[in-house]
Amino acid sequence: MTEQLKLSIKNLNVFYGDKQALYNINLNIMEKEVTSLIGPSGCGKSTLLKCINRMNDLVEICKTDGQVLLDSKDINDASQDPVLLRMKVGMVFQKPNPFPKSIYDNVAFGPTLHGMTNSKEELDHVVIESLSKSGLYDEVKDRLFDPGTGLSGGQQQRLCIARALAVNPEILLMDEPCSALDPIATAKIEDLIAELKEQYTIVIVTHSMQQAARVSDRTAYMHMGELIESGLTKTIFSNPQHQKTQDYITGRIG
Amino acid sequence: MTDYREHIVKSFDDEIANVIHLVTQMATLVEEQYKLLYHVVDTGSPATTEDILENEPKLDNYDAEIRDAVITLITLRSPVAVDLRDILTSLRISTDLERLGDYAKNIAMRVATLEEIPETSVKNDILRLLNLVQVQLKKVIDAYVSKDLTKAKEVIKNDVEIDKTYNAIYEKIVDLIKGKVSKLRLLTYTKLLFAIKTLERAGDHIENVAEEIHFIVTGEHVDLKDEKKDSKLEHAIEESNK
Repeated sequence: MTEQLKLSIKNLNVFYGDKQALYNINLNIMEKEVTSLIGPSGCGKSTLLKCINRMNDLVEICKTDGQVLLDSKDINDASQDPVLLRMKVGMVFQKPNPFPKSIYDNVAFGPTLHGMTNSKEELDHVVIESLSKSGLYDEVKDRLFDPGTGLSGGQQQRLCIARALAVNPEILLMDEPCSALDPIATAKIEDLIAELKEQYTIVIVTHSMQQAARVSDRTAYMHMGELIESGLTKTIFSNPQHQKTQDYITGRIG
Repeated sequence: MTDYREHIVKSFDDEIANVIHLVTQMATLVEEQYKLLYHVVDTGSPATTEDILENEPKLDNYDAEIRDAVITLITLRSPVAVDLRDILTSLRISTDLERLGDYAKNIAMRVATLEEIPETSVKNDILRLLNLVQVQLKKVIDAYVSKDLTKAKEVIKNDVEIDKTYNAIYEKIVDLIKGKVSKLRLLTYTKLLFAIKTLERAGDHIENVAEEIHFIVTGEHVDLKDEKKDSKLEHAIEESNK
């Protein structure tokens, strides 16, 4: 753990039309750490995650106020380009969603779009490196031009992670990345998360408290749009300071 | 934090309650053993010694039952926070209780082989020490049942009284040994020394239980510096000034 502040969310409020989804969220996310967001369905975890790469821009009725500072710069500032932001802040979703293209093209898509490479060799290199980082390369190296959708669920998810890594992000957002996977594929992704945090800052939304406990350095507990408590994962799961947190993690919320 | 609301899964509550119930029952039986032991030391009653020996295997059974229940709970429920503390400490507390039971049996057997305790004053001293142990035991059981942090802290603090009393009796018996004594009497004194040392250790196990209660309630291990070291240090200084 570097203890270096990467992302700072300050007094963040989010509204979907008249309905307020997040209430005055304050949360610090440290560089090269894994931060888990936990809480019951509808508590605002995914909304908060989407505020980090401005995915909420795509929702017309969504309004936000407050600040999301990435390396001390507000990502919502008018000078910030959301497309460049999403290069820096990659995202992996609940259901693996590879493009209906080959494995190679899935990973090459981002670097090509952003004009990151100058030659076929360079692009090959990025694709192979990204697939290696996501732990998939050895399994697919002989069929890089087969469709990505033909892979197993766990492989598809690692393909999506490779796709996110290909544009060289700094932060990786993961929205329940294992909920559609079996325990073995889940273990592989969790193992991968542990490796990736050497280089990336990771924020993960998960419904599995065991998963949050296993993979994350810090955990934030949310309830009905409020951030109740955040801290070191060990503390949150062994001796939470807030009754609501304890009720949730021990299965007492009713 | 130990505010117990019901779990969503009701059977989880029942299973935790079962473990706590077993620990409480086991503790009550240990309390009974020390009551019987008091009677043995006071009267030398062989029948009461028999009762203690008969109860002993029941404590082992409780210990095994608690262990199995805890393993099942951890395997099936993956408890965290206060639940985990409750469950894990029950395992440790049952080990302390099992040991306390062993001690009661050992002392009873040692005392039972004596024809009598030679000096009345020594006998009264041992009864006083035994009484201190009983008082601590009762208090720690109360503290466990009601998750009472104040009581648990009192138990931790009061252990020094047992230590002091033990030391005083020890000195007294050693002085007696230094005088002219027969070999048989020497054997008696040695057995009594073992007995009081065992009672002093019993006090330590009761203190362990109190420390576990502290952990259940606060989630933090007891800071012995605050709760005890001061009085221990005072005691050590007192001793060295003698």
